[in-house]
Amino acid sequence: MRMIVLLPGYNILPWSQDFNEKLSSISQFLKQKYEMDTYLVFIDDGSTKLGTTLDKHISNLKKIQHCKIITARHHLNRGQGAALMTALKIGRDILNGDYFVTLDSDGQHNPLNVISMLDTLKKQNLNIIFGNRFGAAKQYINQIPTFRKTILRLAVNFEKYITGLNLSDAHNGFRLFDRKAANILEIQQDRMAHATEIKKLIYKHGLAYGEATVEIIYDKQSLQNGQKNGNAINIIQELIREKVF
Amino acid sequence: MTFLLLPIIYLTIIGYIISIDWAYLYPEHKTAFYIELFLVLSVVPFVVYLYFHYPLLYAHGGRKIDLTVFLWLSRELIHIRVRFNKQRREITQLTRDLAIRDARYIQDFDAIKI
Repeated sequence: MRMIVLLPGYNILPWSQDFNEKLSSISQFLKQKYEMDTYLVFIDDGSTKLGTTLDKHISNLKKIQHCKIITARHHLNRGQGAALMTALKIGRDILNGDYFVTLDSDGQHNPLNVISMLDTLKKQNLNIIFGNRFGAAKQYINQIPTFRKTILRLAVNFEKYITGLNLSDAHNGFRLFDRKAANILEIQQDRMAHATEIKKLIYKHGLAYGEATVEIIYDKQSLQNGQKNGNAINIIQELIREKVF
Repeated sequence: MTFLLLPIIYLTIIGYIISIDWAYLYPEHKTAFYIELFLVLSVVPFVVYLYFHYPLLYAHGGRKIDLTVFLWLSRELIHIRVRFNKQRREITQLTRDLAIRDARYIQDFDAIKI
């Protein structure tokens, strides 16, 4: 069996050693417990900033152990949704993965959460499991900036209405899904609205979904690398444009 | 005579544009065509019954030339958006195909493609 970790990145500085170690240990754990080979697909989405291009990531990526790493580069910046779809195509169509994890490359996610997500997915016979940052311990919830928390709460209700999925978190990039879900995911939204599109596709095809608690770290670097609050407006615009045109 | 002739000319031009868009835009993007049709049909009464709607048109500073510009701009905006979306999808597909073609294992970063 193969677990594919999908990691799109744009203008992202090489992540910390801690993140590498967590990816290494999760790969080792999956091999030992489930006889599962881990592949990491990293897509550089046309980074242009100094120190963020693919060649700067290579030495860092080589430090990840027990995991085969595939890299690819978008020559033009096409957005996170497009980069994720490229990673998924490599993982699904070339590597023939059985399970897929999507992570944000800003280092906010804790890869160790994959263990509990995979357990829940298997036990409850789900096709996809979405990360929920609001179920985490207080120390993690308190890290979320207040304004971000307010926007996320509003987005949760908006997405319930738009997608039909009843989830407690919105636009959480931490997801785990099986082959069946991977086969129906043909993401058309190039930019951030892809998160909403994924939910719509899951609802449309009637796949089984669930939630699992994930820890998200909001430190200075991850906030600098991560989504900005103003993106909420862009996401709504993208959804309307896609719907009409 | 001018009273009847001008609306007929305007409507003929509008009908001609719509028929072209029906042939080219409709198969490509139905929603965009319907939006355009709606925009056009909503202003056609102002052309036909100009004098009946004169107070309303006057209130909006409307003349036939404004109507023509309005129709033309609306149509162009719809066409630009549809064309933009189509090209965006094509560029993404091309970028993706190139990325997948050049993808490689990190262990073989300097040598072998997958």
